[in-house]
Amino acid sequence: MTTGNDEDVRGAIADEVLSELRHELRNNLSTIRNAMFYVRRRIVGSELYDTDPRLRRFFDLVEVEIANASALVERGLSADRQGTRGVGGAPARGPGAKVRPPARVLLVDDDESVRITLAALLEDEGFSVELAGSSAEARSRISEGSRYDLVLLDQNLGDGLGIDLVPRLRAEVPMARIVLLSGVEADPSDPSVDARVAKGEAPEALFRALRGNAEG
Amino acid sequence: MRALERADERAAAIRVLVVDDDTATVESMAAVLESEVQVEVTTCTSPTAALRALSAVDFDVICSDYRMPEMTGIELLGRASARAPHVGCLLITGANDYERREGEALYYVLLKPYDPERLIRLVRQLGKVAQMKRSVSALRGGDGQEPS
Repeated sequence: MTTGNDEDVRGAIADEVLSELRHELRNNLSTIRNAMFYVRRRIVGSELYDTDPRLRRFFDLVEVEIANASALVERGLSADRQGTRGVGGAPARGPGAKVRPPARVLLVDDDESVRITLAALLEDEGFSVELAGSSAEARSRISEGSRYDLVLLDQNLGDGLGIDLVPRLRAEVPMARIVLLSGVEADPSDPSVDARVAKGEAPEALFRALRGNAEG
Repeated sequence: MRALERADERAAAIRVLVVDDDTATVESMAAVLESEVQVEVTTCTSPTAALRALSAVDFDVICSDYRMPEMTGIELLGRASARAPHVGCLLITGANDYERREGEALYYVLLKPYDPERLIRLVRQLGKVAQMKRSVSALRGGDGQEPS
């Protein structure tokens, strides 16, 4: 028979082990990121880099995977904090937190791994998420009459640009705030969207932008 | 006049001390920083070695891990700025348990896994400020101590 005390101790040990693992993972991810940055810098402009298109693609791929992996590390963290064990970190939504219906988000991105990761992160943060993998799919969602509080748009969608969906969104879901996930080529002064978040940024920056927009 | 020449010479390269008890980490950080022109990097894998290096060389910036065996990065940065008032301090941490406290040495914080470009930008900014502080103090004929 286990007592509450035993459970507390076990919980505390589990938290400690997890925290160590995360620390280790962040260190490792950081080292890989640095190493890749260095290798890329050394090789960019060389004949090899210019003639083998795989190199660029693979560097990009590693960057995306590191971003996904670090999002997962932090995602595990916020899931823990929602636990009822009562050991370790304070709950993310304490007694003082306001209860409100989840904001509905339409996430439009042509990359399946981004959709899966980001949707999981958003749901962890209490958003209700619907997905679209292309401009066409996003348009049909909108014309179905679905209501959204937020639309999160990737800029490059394969069958068009995210920004080109904005006029249609404004007409069909006028209450929705629009956040554009942009690369470096985006014009930050473009007033047609409510916020822009650079794709490489930490998920916290995205959540801040989303929350500001959902509640604003 | 001599002070100005000396300041110019020093502006040539930013001297950075990187401290982390993990060898792969210091090596990868040094690689990122040295891929920039005019950045010179020295690495140490323990706070004690870092303090020794600090008494031998005038560094512009010190980048330290938070969690290390002998002392925390905050303690190290505190001691570093007591020895070299101009040095720019950057704390780099992946720890959950890190919390910024008031009244500790003035330092910047970078959370792992950070964007390497951001590391470079921060080190450049801190380095420039350190060099400026040092030339002002040299012009005043100071001995490297903060003006009171």
